[in-house]
Amino acid sequence: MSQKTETAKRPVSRKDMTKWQWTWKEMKNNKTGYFLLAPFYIIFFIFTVLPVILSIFFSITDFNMLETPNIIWFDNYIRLFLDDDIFILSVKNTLVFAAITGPGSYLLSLIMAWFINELPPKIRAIMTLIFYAPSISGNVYMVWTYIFSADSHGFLNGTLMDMGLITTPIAFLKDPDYIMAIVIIVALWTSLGTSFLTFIAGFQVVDRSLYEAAAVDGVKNRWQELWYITMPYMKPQMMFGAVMAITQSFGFGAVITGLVGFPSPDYCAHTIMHHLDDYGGSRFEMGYASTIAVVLFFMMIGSNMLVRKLLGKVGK
Amino acid sequence: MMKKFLSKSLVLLLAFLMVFSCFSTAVFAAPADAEPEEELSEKQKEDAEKMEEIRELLEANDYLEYRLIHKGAPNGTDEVVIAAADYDKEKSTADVYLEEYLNEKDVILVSESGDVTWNFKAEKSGNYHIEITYAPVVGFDADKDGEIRKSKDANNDGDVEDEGEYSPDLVSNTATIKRALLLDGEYPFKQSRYLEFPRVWEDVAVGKKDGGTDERGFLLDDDGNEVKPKKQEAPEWRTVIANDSTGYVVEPFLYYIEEGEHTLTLAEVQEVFAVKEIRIFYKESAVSYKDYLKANDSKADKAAGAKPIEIDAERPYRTSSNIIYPIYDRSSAATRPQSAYQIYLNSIGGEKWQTVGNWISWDFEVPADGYYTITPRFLQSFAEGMYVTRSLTIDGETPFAEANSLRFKYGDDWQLQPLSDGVKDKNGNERVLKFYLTKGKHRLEMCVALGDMASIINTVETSLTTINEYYLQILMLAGAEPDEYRDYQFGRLMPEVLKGMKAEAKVLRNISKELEKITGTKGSDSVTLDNVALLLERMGGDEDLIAPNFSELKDYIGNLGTWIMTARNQPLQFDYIVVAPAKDVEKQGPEKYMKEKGFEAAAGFWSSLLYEFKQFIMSWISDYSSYGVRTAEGAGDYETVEVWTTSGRDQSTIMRSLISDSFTPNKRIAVDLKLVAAGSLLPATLSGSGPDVNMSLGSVTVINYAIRSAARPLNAAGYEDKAGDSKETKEFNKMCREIFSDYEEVKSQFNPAALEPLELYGVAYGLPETESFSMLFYRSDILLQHDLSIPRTWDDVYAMLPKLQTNNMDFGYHESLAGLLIMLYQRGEKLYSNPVEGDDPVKGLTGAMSVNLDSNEALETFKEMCELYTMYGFPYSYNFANRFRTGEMPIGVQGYTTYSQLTIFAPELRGLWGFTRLPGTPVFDEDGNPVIDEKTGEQKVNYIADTNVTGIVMMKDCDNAKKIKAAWEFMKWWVSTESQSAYGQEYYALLGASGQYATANIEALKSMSWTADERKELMDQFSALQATPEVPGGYIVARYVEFAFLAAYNDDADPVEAMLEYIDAINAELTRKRDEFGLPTLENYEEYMKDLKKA
Repeated sequence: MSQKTETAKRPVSRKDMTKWQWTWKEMKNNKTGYFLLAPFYIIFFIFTVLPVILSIFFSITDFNMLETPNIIWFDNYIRLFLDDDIFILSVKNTLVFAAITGPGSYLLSLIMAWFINELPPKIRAIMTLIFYAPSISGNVYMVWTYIFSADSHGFLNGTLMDMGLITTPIAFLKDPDYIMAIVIIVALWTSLGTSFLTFIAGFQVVDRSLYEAAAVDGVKNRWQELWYITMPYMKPQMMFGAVMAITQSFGFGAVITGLVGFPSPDYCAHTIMHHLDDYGGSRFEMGYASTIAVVLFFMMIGSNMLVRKLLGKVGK
Repeated sequence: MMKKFLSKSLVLLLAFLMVFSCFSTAVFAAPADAEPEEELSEKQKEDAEKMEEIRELLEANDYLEYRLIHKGAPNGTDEVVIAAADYDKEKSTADVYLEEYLNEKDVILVSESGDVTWNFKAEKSGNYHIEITYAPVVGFDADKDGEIRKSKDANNDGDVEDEGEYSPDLVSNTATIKRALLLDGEYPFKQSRYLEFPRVWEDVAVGKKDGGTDERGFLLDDDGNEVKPKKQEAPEWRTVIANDSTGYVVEPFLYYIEEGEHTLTLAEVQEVFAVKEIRIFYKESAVSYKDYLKANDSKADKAAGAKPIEIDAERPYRTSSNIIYPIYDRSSAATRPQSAYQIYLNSIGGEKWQTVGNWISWDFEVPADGYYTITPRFLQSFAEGMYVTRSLTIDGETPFAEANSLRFKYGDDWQLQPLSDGVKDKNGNERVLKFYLTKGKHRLEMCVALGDMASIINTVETSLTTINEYYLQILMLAGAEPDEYRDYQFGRLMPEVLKGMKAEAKVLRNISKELEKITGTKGSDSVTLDNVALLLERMGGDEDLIAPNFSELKDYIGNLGTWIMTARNQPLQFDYIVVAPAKDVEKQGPEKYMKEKGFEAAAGFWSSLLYEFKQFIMSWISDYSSYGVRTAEGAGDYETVEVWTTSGRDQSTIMRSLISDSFTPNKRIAVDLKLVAAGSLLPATLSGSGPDVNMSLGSVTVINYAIRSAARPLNAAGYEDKAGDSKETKEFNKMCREIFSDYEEVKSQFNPAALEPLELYGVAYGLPETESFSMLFYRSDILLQHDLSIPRTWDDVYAMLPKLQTNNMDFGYHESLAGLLIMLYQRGEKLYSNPVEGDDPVKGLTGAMSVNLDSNEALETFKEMCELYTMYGFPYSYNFANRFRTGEMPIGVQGYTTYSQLTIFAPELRGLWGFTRLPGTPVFDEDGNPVIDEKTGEQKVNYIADTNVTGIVMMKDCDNAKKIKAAWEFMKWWVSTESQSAYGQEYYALLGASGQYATANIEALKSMSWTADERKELMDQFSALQATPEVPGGYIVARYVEFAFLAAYNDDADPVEAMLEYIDAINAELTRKRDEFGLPTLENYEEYMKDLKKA
């Protein structure tokens, strides 16, 4: 609105200047807005945008963290896609992991939130805390290392041996046969985090009168209520939850390392994050690590776009 | 009928078969027994002797049993005084020197290893005390060539005539002096094996000339904080009646000596000492307090009205240990002196003064004869709900028996209470003890004791040993994880265990009740005991409950051990001690009296508030990380070196004090030591704001920095001129070559193995600080019980496995690369191979181009390592300390620092375990003939262990001549024997027995607190170490070896195939990494060599 009124007042027309000139002029006119935006934007730029740009730059160098980098153009990308089996393996692992834990944790959060929402307020508060606790208590997932300890006195091994099911302890966290399953279970367990809370909040802001109106209009059961009213009503929360779930599922590296060590036996739970750590941390190849980061970055953007599309279908 | 006959005959047949089969195995077994015993090697003979000694010790009576046997014997009436110089020269094996020492003529100095024996004749049979007059030996040092000389101050006359004739054994370290006392060549009872003779320490007085002291005599740092004074030994002659070093037996030992000729032996355990005289007599025990009062009441009491004397506890006369030093208390405003702005060392003791036998003594002077009360201001917030005990002597004498168990009750704040033994007076208050003192100087000594707790802890410890035995017996029958649903028939097979469990439960219940009576409350301490008792009652009462509760029993054994450990600790912190006339105190009551005289336990509300508020404000201003920094006078002109360390705060404080004491003043170089978070070095180096010197970097990191030219070479090889170097570079190189010309000399202080991982292609990048390696830990009691000897070769290990495993016990070992390397190195193989034959033309640049794991020998070794886990059932994951304690894993290969953990963690195992070199591999030459060791005439056994080091490095940013020189001086100083052993000792003083600093310096390691035997074993292994060189891409090897091992372990894959599968991947990574740094690779080295030749 303001734009129109301003252009109307002034004799200068949009056509008189280039796009850049026009933008600059508009910016000058709205400088208060930019001024208010500045504190956040500067920080956001320095700590989020700039690293991404830097990372893209380093991805075409052979930066080793201590010496001046040389530009080697697309060598890193060529090596990454054509000459790195372990990267391909890690992409597979990441996708499998993300495909299960992403939607898994998302649905879990949603269903749990829905269930808990039905409870009386006091019990609801307690249950929320119980489900939310694992994700706020930092490294609490480490309890699983005691449960799955390879020691014959470890919880699970001890119990199984007591029951006579096995005779020698199983190295659960060192055996590729078990690792992926365990890691996914633990990831789901810790994933009831922020998105879960947003869902609970989301359920509570739904206008009660809509349900009555819907009942009049012929909604027959709670599923229909959920699908046609609740979910469309809390689309923003769901969008947020989905983004969180996806980002989280790509970044579960720390949990996996905490459980099975680094690297995982036979790279069976080696995700892109691990691959990045491997090159950036232990091999001092920051250039290559940046390449991996850039690829991961675009993968995340891609999946976010996918999720946006899928969520558009809600309630239709 | 027919059926019955058939079944009968079948039964008969079966019975016959059974008898026969027993017989036949017996027949087969017989020849095996009859087989002539293999000839024992030297080492095995030594082991056998050691084991024999332990067997004797195990079989010896406990002191209480010993007392029961000789209960009827009369108290000795004879008195025998043996002059130390009259030792039996033939029977003694130690190096003994007749000397004049500490103003006493004709005393003997006894070396650490070996025994000294005296002959004596007792005229009358009876129970005797044995009193030994001894002194710690200080003042004999090894000089650079290893010659021993007497320092000038050793004797007051300073007469040095026998220079260089002493044994290296005479060089004293700072550990407690320990000896075993034998009568007629035998241990009269177990406890006689563990006699301790405390050393004597004093604070080094700082004169004004050192500058920066306050009126209390403490050094001040730049911010005016008081800095912990240095401790030095103050040897003096002390007499000690042989007593129990654990404190369980409160009275000194009574030895039963029959009429006739005897020998008395003091046998090697730990440390050098001097002996003047040994007296065998019977000492009447101290009188009771009642009798003491009766005896002194008649004497004049002129003390009334005298001013109370305040003794500043943090400035003692002497202490028994270098751990006991002044500490600061910031919690109470009433502690003297106190300030919110500066740190004052205002108290002493605390957790440093908690081990039985440690004492502190103070000097004071009273103005008149009379009765006095002694009132310390103390903090006992350590042992919750309990009291701690001290024994007191005045001028070396126990005034009355009750003074042996003075109690200090628990309170969460400071207390001001007159000394008391806890007995209630008529009014229900704890009675105040008074001491009769004559006018003049006196010396008050307080020693950590266990008092009434002694018998309680002793009983629990005995009980723990018994329960442990039961645990082992059940373990041998049913295994570590017994099946709940199986009937093991414990009741039939081991009825005594069931009965014993119930008996132990009763013992523990009684103890718990007794404990409640003493402390007056049912605390967590008695609950622990009750829980164990309950479990034992259940298990002993119903054999079906044994299997399901077995693993719980193991946890409870651990709990009991921890209980003993905490109950034995008697921490107590003193601020000051008030000696006041007893009459005045009694008249007014202690509380009122003290308040009137200006002594108070806690500050008033307002002064506390003010103090806390000031402290709060100061917390914004003070820089705690710079505590202890003392800039030397004129340091502004000194060259400053910036040094980063990632160790803890306490460690860095020790370093700081070492630096300001002995480095900065001597070398005129200031050091800016910064405590930084781990991982800050990389970003700092990247941004060019890194330090000059960085400490304690792992060898991997050192080489990572080196190869990316971020670390400075430390030897001349790193500064060779290359073609095309500019003039400045050449000059710089020349200068550096000069500075680092003494590298070879510095290097000689270390094991060559420690240097290898810090070197890259002949260029050294770091000096080793710590070096860790594995040793073989064993439980001698269990080995003896099963008639096993310490394995000296891997064949011995394989031979002992069946016996261990039939008893459900395991051998602990490292898996994956760590385990593989030990075995590989013992076979003379290397981890990396070099395809270039002959002499290396390019200084090792072609080394480590590929991994050697695909050679036949290496694959064979790898297979063997895997089979330990797949075929021989070694446990893959285990808690060594726990299993070692319960006996489930009586033997295992572990890092040698596990030693400290076991000492602290399992006090009940004292003397029952040891460590020694690793089992080795016999050496054969190329034709398969055994290689004979020239010294012993036996086949050589290679018992190499692999080793890991951390190093101190100079960063590349340190790049001007002065800086480099200064930094190099600092590095040399830090890794030198003096600094390393001083640091090691301070570290030990700070952390107690758990703080064994794993220094890489050979001489410094020797000087740490080890017993003679331990030191020998340690050095034995230390001389056989091999390190894995750090090479570009080396990280990949450990990774793939683990993958291959896991494949074999988890999925029974063939180890050889599993390993071979990864060889290409390993070599590819090595090649790729070498390419990155422009090194010759497996693919291009031939061309590379050709080019090199052309050039």
